[in-house]
Amino acid sequence: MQFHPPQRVFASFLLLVAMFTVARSQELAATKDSLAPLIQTLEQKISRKKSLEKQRDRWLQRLEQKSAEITQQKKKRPRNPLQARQLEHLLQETQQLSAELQKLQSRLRRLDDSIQVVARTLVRQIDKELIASFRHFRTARKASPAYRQALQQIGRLYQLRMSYQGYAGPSFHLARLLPVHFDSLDTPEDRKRKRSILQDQLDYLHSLETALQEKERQAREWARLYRLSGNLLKDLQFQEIQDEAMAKTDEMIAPNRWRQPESGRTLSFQTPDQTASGLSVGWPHLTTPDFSTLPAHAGYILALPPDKLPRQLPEIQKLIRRVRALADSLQLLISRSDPQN
Amino acid sequence: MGHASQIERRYAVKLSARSAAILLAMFVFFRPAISMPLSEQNGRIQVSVGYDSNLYEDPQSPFAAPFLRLQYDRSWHKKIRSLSPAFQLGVWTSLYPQYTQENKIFLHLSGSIDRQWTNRWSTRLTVLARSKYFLAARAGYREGKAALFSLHRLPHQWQIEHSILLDLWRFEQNARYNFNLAEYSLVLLKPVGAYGKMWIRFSASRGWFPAFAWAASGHVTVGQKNRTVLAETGVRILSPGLFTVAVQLANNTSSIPALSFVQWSSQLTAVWKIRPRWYLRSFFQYITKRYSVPAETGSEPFQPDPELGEGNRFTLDAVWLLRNSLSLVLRFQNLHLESVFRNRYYQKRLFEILLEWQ
Repeated sequence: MQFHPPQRVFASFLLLVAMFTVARSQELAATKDSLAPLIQTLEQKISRKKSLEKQRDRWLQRLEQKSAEITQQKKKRPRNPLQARQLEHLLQETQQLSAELQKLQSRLRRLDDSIQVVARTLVRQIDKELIASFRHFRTARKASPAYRQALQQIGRLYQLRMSYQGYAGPSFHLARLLPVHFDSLDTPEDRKRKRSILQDQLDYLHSLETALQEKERQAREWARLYRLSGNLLKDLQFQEIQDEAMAKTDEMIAPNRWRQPESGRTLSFQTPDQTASGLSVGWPHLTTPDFSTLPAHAGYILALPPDKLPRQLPEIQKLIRRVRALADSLQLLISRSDPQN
Repeated sequence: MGHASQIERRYAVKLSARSAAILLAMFVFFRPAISMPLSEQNGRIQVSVGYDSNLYEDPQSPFAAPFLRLQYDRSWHKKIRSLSPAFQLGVWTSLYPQYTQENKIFLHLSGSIDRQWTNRWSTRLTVLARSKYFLAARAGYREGKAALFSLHRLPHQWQIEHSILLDLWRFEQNARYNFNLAEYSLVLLKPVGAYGKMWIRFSASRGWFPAFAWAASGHVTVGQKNRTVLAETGVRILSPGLFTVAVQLANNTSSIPALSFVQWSSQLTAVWKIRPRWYLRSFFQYITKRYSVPAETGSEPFQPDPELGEGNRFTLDAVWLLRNSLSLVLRFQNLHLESVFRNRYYQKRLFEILLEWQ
């Protein structure tokens, strides 16, 4: 069989390689910022851990072999001097290997601990940047480059959080989304401080809503791109393009054949409704809504890559409605907590 | 249909009773499913006018004509626990006001059912029937295809897909081209970076042409058996548009040496936004087909329909979204495809203006 790949086919190979490179470089480019050194350290440690684990597995395998050989040798009776020396040699080797393995295990444990420390530092740093990005919404003018940058940054930060913690949210400790309770013993200073916390929470929710609206826009845009691409392929199939693998086209064009999110976490909201009607809003006893489940879901949605978004469009819309309802409740609470009202 | 003798052989017969019965059976088979209260439905209607530079797909003397095309397709999808049935129906007609003998209709009906057995394993059964008929002549074909896919999720985000496929083709005008195909295929898929996906595919297929006759050097060979092995790799990236590139190598060994070939193929599909409400989309396929006996061109058609020929294709669409559900598409296609005669290619250019409602 003789192949004469022409230059154009070779060019398409090059294009293929270029596309791989672009896909990879996009991922790398996204990490070129203040988080980059931490991410780099963490990646190095993770890859070091993987290689040590491989080495440990190899040594364990060798240890098993040696143990099997020792058992074999011990079964042989009567033993001549050569066999006895062999057995002794094997026992020595096994002891050495066990000692090395123990050292390796302790190195792995230390490495694991340091990975945990770096990961925690990274996640704290991510949270700080997240809050800074949320605050950017307050100052940035809508449709300005800073505003768009903050939006992109939020999505990326949630993705990083998901990668290094396996869990995208919540960041409510930093956003001060802890319940705030007003009561009759509060001094005017206390009320002022609590109202400032509530205002922060409201800003957070408004920012979250905007970020989710951006995701909704992206979801619609990607759904449109998939649809346009799918329509073209459908048109061409009618014109006799051989559809070699029906499933492959489906998989590539509508890639969410797996209905569950990858983590297996469902996106439905199991907690009771927390709209204004669920709040105790009678002055002076006021308590903020419980945010505990919301940022996790929002974080999960914000961490989704674009190809997963179109399928989640109804969930995104549901989440936006929910965030808006919470923001409205909070607004109501702020206005009621104003002593002048 | 490009060949003059074939056109002469056609006589004015509408859809044959047998074909109508098959279509009716297909409809009856899928009807209960179609009438189900399905959760997701998509419909699309396309109306277009265009210009075809080579109406009869003739390699030597192209003949240009305007045409009108109507297309309707509809799909249904539902999720019932771990089962996901889906159905698709498509009708496409191409009408040539000045050359009515070329008027044709395509019908497409397919159904699939997905079953997710575990979080890491799902299967899909797909059945497809499609046909092409000339409205004023007894010509065209019917195709029936069934495929079973098994998709597994592996560690490190790898996915592996096995599939077996059975494909039957029946030609209206000449039964000697009827053929059956069985294929096994293996696809490995993996995400690349945040916005990409790559795949590698291997397949092996066997094709039978029981009544095919090939005359060469004063000797007639009856029956043809083909064995095809194929390797493909491709990547899709999602940013800033949707781009898919694939390279494929196929080696076909035929019981008729003149029909054995090696084929390289590269494909690019791209959709990207150029302005608000304006999109460009493109499909490009470049094929290099080398027969193991290059000199022999053959005096008889080796397949009956020139539109089934493989070759180079370039399609470029400019899509203007007038409304969310309504778009205007300007389409240009340049085709350089193998005609009904082995190793002889025809050139065809199509210009179309489409109005699409979805």
